[in-house]
Amino acid sequence: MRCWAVVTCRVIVIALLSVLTSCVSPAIDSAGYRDKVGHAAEKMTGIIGSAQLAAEQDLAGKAFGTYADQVISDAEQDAQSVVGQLDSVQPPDEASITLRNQADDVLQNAAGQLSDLRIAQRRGDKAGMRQSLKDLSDSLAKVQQLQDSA
Amino acid sequence: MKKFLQLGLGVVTAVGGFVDIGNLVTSGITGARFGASLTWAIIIGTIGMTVYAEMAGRVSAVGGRTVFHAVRERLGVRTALVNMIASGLLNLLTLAAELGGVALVLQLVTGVNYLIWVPIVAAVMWLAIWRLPFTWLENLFGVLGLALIVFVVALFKLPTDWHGLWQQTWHPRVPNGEGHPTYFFYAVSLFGACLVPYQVVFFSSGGREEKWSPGSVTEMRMNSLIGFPLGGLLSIAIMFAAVPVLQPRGVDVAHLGQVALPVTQALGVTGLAIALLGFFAATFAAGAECALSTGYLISQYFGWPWGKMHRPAAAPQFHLVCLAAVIAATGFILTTIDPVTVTLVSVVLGAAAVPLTYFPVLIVANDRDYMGDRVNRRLSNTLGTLFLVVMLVTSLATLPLLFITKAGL
Repeated sequence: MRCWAVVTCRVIVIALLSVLTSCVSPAIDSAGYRDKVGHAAEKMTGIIGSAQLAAEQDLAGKAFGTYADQVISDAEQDAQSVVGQLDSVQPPDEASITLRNQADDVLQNAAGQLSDLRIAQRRGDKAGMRQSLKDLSDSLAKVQQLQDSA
Repeated sequence: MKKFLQLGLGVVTAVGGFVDIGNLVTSGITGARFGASLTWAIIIGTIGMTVYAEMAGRVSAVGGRTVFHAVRERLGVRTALVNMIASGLLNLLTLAAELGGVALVLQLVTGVNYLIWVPIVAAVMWLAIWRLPFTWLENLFGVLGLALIVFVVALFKLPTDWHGLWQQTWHPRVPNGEGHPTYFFYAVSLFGACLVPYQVVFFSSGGREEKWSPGSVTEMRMNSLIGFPLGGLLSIAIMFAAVPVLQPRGVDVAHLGQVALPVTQALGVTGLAIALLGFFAATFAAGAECALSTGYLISQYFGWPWGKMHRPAAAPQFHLVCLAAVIAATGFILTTIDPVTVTLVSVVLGAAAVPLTYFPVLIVANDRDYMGDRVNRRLSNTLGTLFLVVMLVTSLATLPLLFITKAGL
């Protein structure tokens, strides 16, 4: 019985340690940082895709305003979260700092354009939405370039 | 004619009632991310659900026993207590996800933040549980949930690559850029979404509410053997609809609104309105079922009078538990935790917990003292045992996958 109690305690301690250690981000090297940038760019590609789809549907009269607004607003928040998450990672070396600056530029720009799209959509400004969609297409190309290079 | 209509209504209710927030979210996410390569998980989950729902329904109709009676009798009072606590907590998590889901649908329609809707939805849900007759509660929202057929219609309007879907379905492989752990984590989530324990508890207790007898076995079988597989097809349609619209753009579904994008693309405002009606009905019905299931399992464990067949004054503990469940789930979702994340966690933990609920059903369905000549036949036992093994393997793999993939990231 005592033996079982010891084994059970050990299993619980190991399980707790596993959970706790999985909550701490490990230090990353240059390759790991590049992976994180690639992952952020991949996420941003999908976020832009979602907002573009909702905006195009709204412009085509396929979706009602509150729905398109919500999908675009969610995309805007997700984009800001992606930028924030990448910013919170410490670049391990000089090359990673350069990559960070490059990625930050592209991702911040895309997040800003999503805000522009949301503002235009809420105001019912169709011309503004078309312009934002055009800008977002250009941004999407840059984000995909970043994803390929990272 | 009346009998035929009753059978049809039962099937329709089972189809609409099969899909809940778990199916909506997991099918949307996996379709956009993995194409049709995880269809097998829905197929296996749906067959498992159908086999065990039929068994639980038969035990209810012939043996006059609900799932939780079986759990207490077969596993003993102490083990059943652990089972009841685990199932109750899981129910609360699922109920919170469903409440959040209904509120998110209302946010999509009105633009008002979902957190404002949550207490209102909870109050209406509790009133529905308190006031509406059982058959109304079951049939009304089950039928409205059929609005999700709009995803099947959308599939035919979209530029769907049927050959590609077929290939991915029957020759599944992990898509490029995705790891095996992530792939199997989402397989578990789809499996868990099909096999949620509250549905079996609700199905068997509902049988007692509707006074099923041995003569009701045909009706019960129609509901489970036709209704649930058709419900599984709806889940597959939601997954497939995401493939031509969301996958090419790399959309990673993280919000309920994105699940409706393919329907909007195909059918415009009308399609969107019907899809949102389906979302509303499916999540509201599932929320009410979840709250009732919590009331059923706790009341059945303690031997209190339970069910809507009694007037509330005659089953006060049962109604109090239902109310407490709704209040607790409301409080949880009002912490601003993301309902979609809660959904994903609840279906994955549900997959880990299913053997606790399903194993006693298999045992009682083989007991001649209860079932007489309606005990399981060889096919039911073979399938039941096979799925129990699958459930056990899934159950053991769930938590490691959850941690390794950081919940599917």
